[in-house]
Parts: sequence; structure tokens; C-alpha cells
Amino acid sequence: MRKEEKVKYLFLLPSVALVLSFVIFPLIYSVFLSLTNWQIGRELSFIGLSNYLKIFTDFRVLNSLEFTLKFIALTVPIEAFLALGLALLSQKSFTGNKVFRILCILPFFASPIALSYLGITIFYEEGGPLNNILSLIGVGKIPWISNPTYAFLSVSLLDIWQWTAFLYVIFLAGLESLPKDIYEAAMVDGASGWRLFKSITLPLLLPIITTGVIFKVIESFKVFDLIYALTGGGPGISTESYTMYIYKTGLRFFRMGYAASLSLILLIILSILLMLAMIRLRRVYEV
Amino acid sequence: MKERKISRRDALSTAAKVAIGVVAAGVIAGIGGYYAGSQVAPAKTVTETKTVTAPGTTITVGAATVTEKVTETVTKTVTVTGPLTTPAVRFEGATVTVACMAGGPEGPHSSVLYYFKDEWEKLTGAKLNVIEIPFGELHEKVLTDAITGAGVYDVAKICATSLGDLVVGGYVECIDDYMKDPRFPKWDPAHVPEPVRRCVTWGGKWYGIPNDCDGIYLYYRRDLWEDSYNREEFKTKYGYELPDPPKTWDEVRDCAEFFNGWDWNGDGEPEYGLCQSLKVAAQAWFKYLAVAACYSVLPGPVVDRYHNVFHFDPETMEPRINKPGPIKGLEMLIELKKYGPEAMIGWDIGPSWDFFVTKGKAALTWDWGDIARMAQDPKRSVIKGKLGAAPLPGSYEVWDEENKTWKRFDRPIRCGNILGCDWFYVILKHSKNKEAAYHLCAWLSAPEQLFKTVTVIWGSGVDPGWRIHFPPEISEGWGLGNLKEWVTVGGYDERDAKAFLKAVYEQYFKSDTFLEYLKIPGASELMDSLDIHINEALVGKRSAKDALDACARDWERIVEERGKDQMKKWYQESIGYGLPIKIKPD
Repeated sequence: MRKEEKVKYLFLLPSVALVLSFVIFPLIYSVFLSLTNWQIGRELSFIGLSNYLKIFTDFRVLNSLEFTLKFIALTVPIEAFLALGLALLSQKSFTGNKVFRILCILPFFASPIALSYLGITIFYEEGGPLNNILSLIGVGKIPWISNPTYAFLSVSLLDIWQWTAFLYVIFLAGLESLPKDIYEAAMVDGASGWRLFKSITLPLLLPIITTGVIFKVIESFKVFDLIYALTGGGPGISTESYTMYIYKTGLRFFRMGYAASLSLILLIILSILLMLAMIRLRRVYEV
Repeated sequence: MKERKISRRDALSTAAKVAIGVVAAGVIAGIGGYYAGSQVAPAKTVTETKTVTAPGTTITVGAATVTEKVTETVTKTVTVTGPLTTPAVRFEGATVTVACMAGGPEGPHSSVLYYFKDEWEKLTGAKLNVIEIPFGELHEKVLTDAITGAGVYDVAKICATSLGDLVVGGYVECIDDYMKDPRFPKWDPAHVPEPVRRCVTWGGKWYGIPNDCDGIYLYYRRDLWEDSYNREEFKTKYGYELPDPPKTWDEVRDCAEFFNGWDWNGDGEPEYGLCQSLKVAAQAWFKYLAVAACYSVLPGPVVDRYHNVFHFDPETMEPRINKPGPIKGLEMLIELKKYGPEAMIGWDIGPSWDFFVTKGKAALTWDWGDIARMAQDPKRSVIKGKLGAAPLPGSYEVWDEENKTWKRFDRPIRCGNILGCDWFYVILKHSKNKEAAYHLCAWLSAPEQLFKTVTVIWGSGVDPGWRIHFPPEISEGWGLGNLKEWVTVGGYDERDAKAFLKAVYEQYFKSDTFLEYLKIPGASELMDSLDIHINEALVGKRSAKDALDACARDWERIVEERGKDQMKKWYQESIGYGLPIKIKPD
């Protein structure tokens, strides 16, 4: 091998080392841990697939998966709809358009944990700003944190406020990249605004929308910090997400083996989702 | 005038003489200071006189019955010799890193370290590094540091629930030898209530340096209780005098209902009967146990299978959390919840304390000693001088698991508690500065620092319970404290201080039994299960019985997974199984 070829491998080495240390090794070690019953104060012993079998009978796993799926089902479509609407609005020419775009993006830069603590103030039931406004307009106090249904809504509202910005950026970039000549041709043919959207914008933007939604679904599966401070997973376990349960199992109860198995199940679920989405995208692009 | 010239030789010679003189003076001063500081103090003699009456004997002489009673006056003389001042031990160059609950420079537990940091560093030459960790993460961060051997922390101020995991894993230092070492500051184990001592020991060995004496007490608005209008109205409605203080939870319920929903403070808004912190993953389960204990812990002379135990059957490790006693406790909590704001379900201690102390919108609460201290802060309290305090209410009935029935008493049976974390210091095994670490912890638990901690440091989060805290007039002569200092130094209202200290003393030393502290490995997971199921019952998702049945099933699973035999052994060790229960002070 020539000297120049050897040097390029040297440049690759740091990245490879990082990936091996922080991705590959933890993955392999997690698989190993998931087949053991390692807990603090106990010797590590091999128990095969027992941890995986326990998952099916653990009511907290089923509860947390149910919450996570409901959370995704509520927040992702709303965020996609709002983001698309804001992106389309940003395409129009009006005074203050640039400021408008900046305001739409800003929420994404808020730290989720800080937002969660801010939520405690906003949703404070005995005199927080939201309930004060609602009382003024005659709606009355809403139990934002103390009622399971409203607690779910509170978490969802915070997520929608923050992550609409993420999808907005993706959709706006997509819209900016669409070819203008197709629109010009369609307008010459007399197409209305709605027809332009339905027949040109949406089909062309669909791959980008799908990509954005997939990213958001994957991110939503990992929701943790918003819930941690605001509700702590309560009332009861009504807002306990799957990742929150993994965190408690591994780092509160120190049942590392079981926590590893829960994590791998999440990895499998997300991998299947990603694979299905990639297949779909490939079909769309091939067409 | 002629200029006087000094030669270089003369200048150097003078400078050298001055320098030598200064050094010599410094050495002499240092030696003198050392001896002055560590001189043997004169012997201190304390004389206590007690009158003891023995039941005596009854004999029959002919038709007469003679009963002999023996009365003795006992004088105890205690002589203290030896150095009373802290020995001058130096740890130059050492840094002691302490992990404690995050509270900032004026918040619980961290404020103590910041307050005393400069003084201790000056005393020892070592450095103190404080690392604050949020309450919910403290257990896992300390344990992770210990398990991985990262060695970031030398000392941790931990919650008692963490001790089992740390001891069983071999992560903390046994301090028996340090306690005997004359180089270190002295703190007297006999000056701490027995339940607090049990929190910091395991298998007869000391692992923690006690500091906080967490306990939950009943607080009420004394001004409302003293109002004659309220007293008359209460008697008319309920048929008995407004209880001052309430002695059972039924009385608390009646009082909370009476004061709920009307404007008793003239602010134009209706007030509440009570307030509480019932948020999941926060303090709700402590507040539940405070109510449930009196229905569940049957008093007796010894910690045996059916007396003075709460969580498990010590012989079989069958959970007892779903027995009639704890169920009745949860039903009572659900009932009490009606007389407070609905928002309580989402409150941790901050909003609850704010509601009672700063807004003054609740008539009653039960909480830690922080309430008594915060109530004295003129910047944020509207209830200074209006605080009533009492040990937690009791019950006329306690569940008797042996006979599967309610055992009735002719007076309320009170179950004392050390609920809360009972924060204490442990030295981590991997610490490279163990002696400096122990010196710090022992010094912080010495009487002078302890008194300042509970009086001067407003937000210390440390509750009284040591002998130095109690004035003798409140503690049947046992205490070594001074009520006037609570007022002048601590800034307390005198009546508030008296009520509070009396409540603390009675809770620790005049209860009929005590709620054991669960500190076995896995305690965190067990309490997490209790926490979420209590919350389900409070929001109406399950009945009290269903919630605690679900909790009991969780506990069975957790015990099985961790090894029932091993858990049984640890549980028996942790509760002092077979030992006599000790409530009276030494």
C-alpha cells in the first residue's frame, strides 16, 4: 500500500474509534447485559431470554408504550399540520416575513428541561398565568397537572410548541427547493391556489414531509425531559413514557439487565419503523 | 543637617535580625496557641436528681393487706474530663468533595456546607468542594459513582433509603474506629434519638454520621384555634371542643372540613382546610406513611413479628402494605384530600410550603421541620407567631395482624416517625481523603455547629432532634438547649419555638411506637411502587384497596427478584428484629 493510502486510514481512525467506543461497544455490551440479571449487590448471572419474556407481563411496560404511542399519535400530526401551514405562509411575501421566520424557528432552541420547568409555572393550577386567563374569560381553573387527561395534554402542548419549529425548518427548506417553472406552467393553465397545493406542492413535498415525520416519530419515542420535571410521570404513571421507565429501571432501581432488554426492544421497534419508511421513500423516489 | 548613611552590611544585618525575631515569635506563639487550644479542660460535673417510685410489693398480714411502695431519690453525677475543644488536626492539601441535595447557597442541606465552608477550611487547611445534585438523582449519581469507581465524591449526604444499597455493595466506610479516634471532633451517639441512630447503622456497625432528624409533624394555625368564634362554631357543628391540638386523624378531618371553603383570613377569597404535597416522584409517599403508620404499627416492648413493624412480615417477607391498617391510612388520606386544593396532586414541597407559610391559605398541614423555620422568616411568612405544632395524630384502633382484628385502645396510640430522608453523611470507600472527610462530617455534627444549623441557617433543611436542641423545660430536663437562644439567635417567635420543640420532643420520646425506616437494598424501587399506586388512588383511578393490593404484588415480585432469603436477612438486620424498642432518651 502506498504511503498516501496509509495516511488516509490514519485520518479515519479517530471517527472509527469514536463509533466503536460509543456506539458499537455499548450496543454489544447492552445485548450481553440483557441476557443477565445484574443488580447492585448481586453477582452477575446469565438468565437467557427471561428479561424479554418478563416485558410482556410487566404492566408498566404496556402502560408506558400506550402513553408513548398516544403521545405520538396526538403530537406528530398536529406538529406536521402546523409546520406545513407556517412554512406555506412563510413563502408569501409580506412585511416582517424574515422576523416571522425567526420567531417560528426560535422555540426549537429552548432546552426541553428548562421548558418543562417553565411549564410548571405556566400550568400552575392555583394562580398560574394560563388558569388566570381562563378564569377571566369564564372557563375556570383546569387541573393541568393533577388530572391524568389534562396532564397528558400539558405535556403534549409543550412538545407541540417546541417541535413544530423543527418540522417547520425542514418543510420550509423543502418548499424553497421546489422547481418554480412547474408552478408557472400550472398558473398559466389557470390552476387555483388549492389545486396548486394539492396537485403540485403536496406530491413534490411528500418525501420531505415523510422524512420529517419519521424523524419526529423517532424523537417522540425518546420523550423524557419534558415529562421529568413537569409531571414526573404522574399522576400515578399516566404520563410515564417508555424511556422514562427505562431510566427508572436502570438508574433508579439499578436493574441493569432488565433495563438493557427494554432498551433493545425500543431499538428494534425504531429500526422496523425506519426500515418501513425507507422502503416507502424508495418507492416514492423510484416513481 | 548631615545625611546619615547606612551601609549595606548594616542594612542586611538589621533585616536578618528582624526576620529571625519575627519567626521566633511566630513559633513561640504557635506552640503556645497549640497548647492553649488543647489544654485539658477542668472536669465538668453535672448533677441530676430524679425521684423514682417503684411499685413495691403487696402482702397479706392477717386480714390486712399491706402494700409497700418504695420511693428513692437518685442523684446522678456526670463528670466530663478531657479536651472539649476540637483538636487541631490539619489536612493541608486535601480536598473533600461532598455530594448533597441541590438547594443552592440558601437551600436545604447544601446551605449548611456553604455556611461552614470557610470556617472548616481555616480550621483544617483542607478544601471543601460542594457538588449539588437534584433530589431525584442523588441516589443514582452517588451509586453510579461508587459502582463505576469514578471516585468523584468523598462524602455523600444521603437519604436513609440509600444506605442498604451502599452498605451491601461495600461502597461506604464503617466509621466505628473513627468515632473512637481522639483526633476527630466528638459527637455523642447518645444525644440522638434511637430511631435516628438505627438509620445510620447496619448490623450493629456505624456507617453514617447523623445530622438531620427528619420527622413529620402536624402544623396548624394557632390564631384560628384561639379564635372564640371558631371554637363556638366548631362545637356547635361537631358536638365537641375544637381539639387543640387534634389528636386523631378523624379530628384532623373534622378540623380541615370546618376550615375549608370560607374566608377566615379576610382576603376576600375562600381558604382551604389543609394543603399537602402529593405529587408522584416527589414526597407523596412520605405524607401517606405519616397518616397510615398509626393504624398499622402495633406497639410492643420488642420488635417482633407483629409489633413495631410495618412494611413486611419479618419471617416470610410477605408484604403488609395491603393490610387493613395501611388501607385505612390511604382511605383517610383520600378523605383529607377533599379539604385542600385539587392542585395538591401536582405539588411537591415548594408550592405546598408556599401555600401554608407565604400565602397563609390553609389551616392545617403535616410536614417537616422546615415549616417551623420558614414560618419565622419575616420576608416570606405571614404566620410568624401564629404557628401551632403537635406530634402526628394517632388512632384509637391499630390493626393486629396476629389476631386479624382491630385492637382498640382507650387513648390514641401515637406512632413516632423519622419520615423524610433523615439526611446523614457517609464516607465513600474510594475516597482518598477519608480522615479529612470524617473530620468534616463529625465537626458538622458537633453541638455548636448543630445548633447553628437548625437556628441561624434558615434554609438548612436540618430538623432538630439532638439533645443540644431541646431546652430542659420542654424535654423533662433531658435537653441541653436554651429556649432564649432559639428566639434571640434563631429569630423564632417564642410561642412558635416552644410549640415546635415540644412537638419534636414528644414525637421522638413520648410516642408509643415508631415507624421503621425502610433502608434495605431495593428500597428505592419499593417506595417508587408505593408512590405510583398511592397516586392512582388519590386521582380516583383505583380504590385504596386495589392500589395497595397492586403495590403488594409489586413488592412480592421485587423481593423475589432480589432474592427472598437475602432480603429477609437484610430486613431483619435493618429493623433490629428481636431487639427491645427504645423510645425514652438516654
